[in-house]
Amino acid sequence: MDDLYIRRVLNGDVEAYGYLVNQHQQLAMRTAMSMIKNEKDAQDIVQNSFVQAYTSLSKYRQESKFSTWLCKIIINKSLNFIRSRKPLMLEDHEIADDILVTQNEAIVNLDKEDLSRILKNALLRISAKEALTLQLYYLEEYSIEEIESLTDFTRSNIKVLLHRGRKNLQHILNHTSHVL
Amino acid sequence: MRDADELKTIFQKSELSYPSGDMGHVVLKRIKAHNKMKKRQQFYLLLGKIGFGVTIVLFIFYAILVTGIEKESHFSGVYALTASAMILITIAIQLEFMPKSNNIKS
Repeated sequence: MDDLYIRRVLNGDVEAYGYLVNQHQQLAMRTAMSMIKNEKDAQDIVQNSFVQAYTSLSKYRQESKFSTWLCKIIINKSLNFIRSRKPLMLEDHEIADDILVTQNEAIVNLDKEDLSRILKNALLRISAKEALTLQLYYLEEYSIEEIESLTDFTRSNIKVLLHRGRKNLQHILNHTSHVL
Repeated sequence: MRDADELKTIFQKSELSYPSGDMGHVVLKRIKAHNKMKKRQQFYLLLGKIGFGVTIVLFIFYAILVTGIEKESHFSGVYALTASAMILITIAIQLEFMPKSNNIKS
């Protein structure tokens, strides 16, 4: 369906681009938020990314999905934003190395809204790279190869980020569930 | 991999969503503003090319007047000037409206 609307946009139908924006805005926001950690800045980045995607649409080769191509633009813009304003956000760090991370069933049994709120807060507290990798892998269900092409992280780097991100996120979620 | 499975469940169940404002409307508005600016730039560029062509023609006319070549030449200076002007303006318009590859039609 995206290809049909892309063809219409390339033929001059600007309104058709609205369909693409509506279809992919949540994916775009989740990707930007995982890195930027601030809704207003993330919205600006997403808007800029959509506009850039429009102006570069003639360069889009349909070898990958439009959403994947758009994600790459957003990730590049987010990385540039972080490097220019908050370089420390890109640093990876272990929150807890010696704390035994145990499975806690309370989190999984929460309703969708509470779970969403808790997960959003937890993602804010881990590094941008970890949050991005976890979100792309678990929520958007990209493979490691796809994440490699989106982010220019190496395969081993992605595995380390997944492992570390899982550990850090579990630690934060477990602490949250103990408070509930 | 129990932790990984549990995390996957948490992510999938939460259906993370963020407020995006009226993203579609805002993006389309920015795109239309961008297209309008681009058309204006193309218009000014065309004016510039025509102006440049006219300037060259006037310079040639001035050169002919000053040097008096017209009196010695077999051809009328007016015809030469008119031909030059038409050639230059035609080239400028052709360059402007030549089909460009990889562009969105606007």
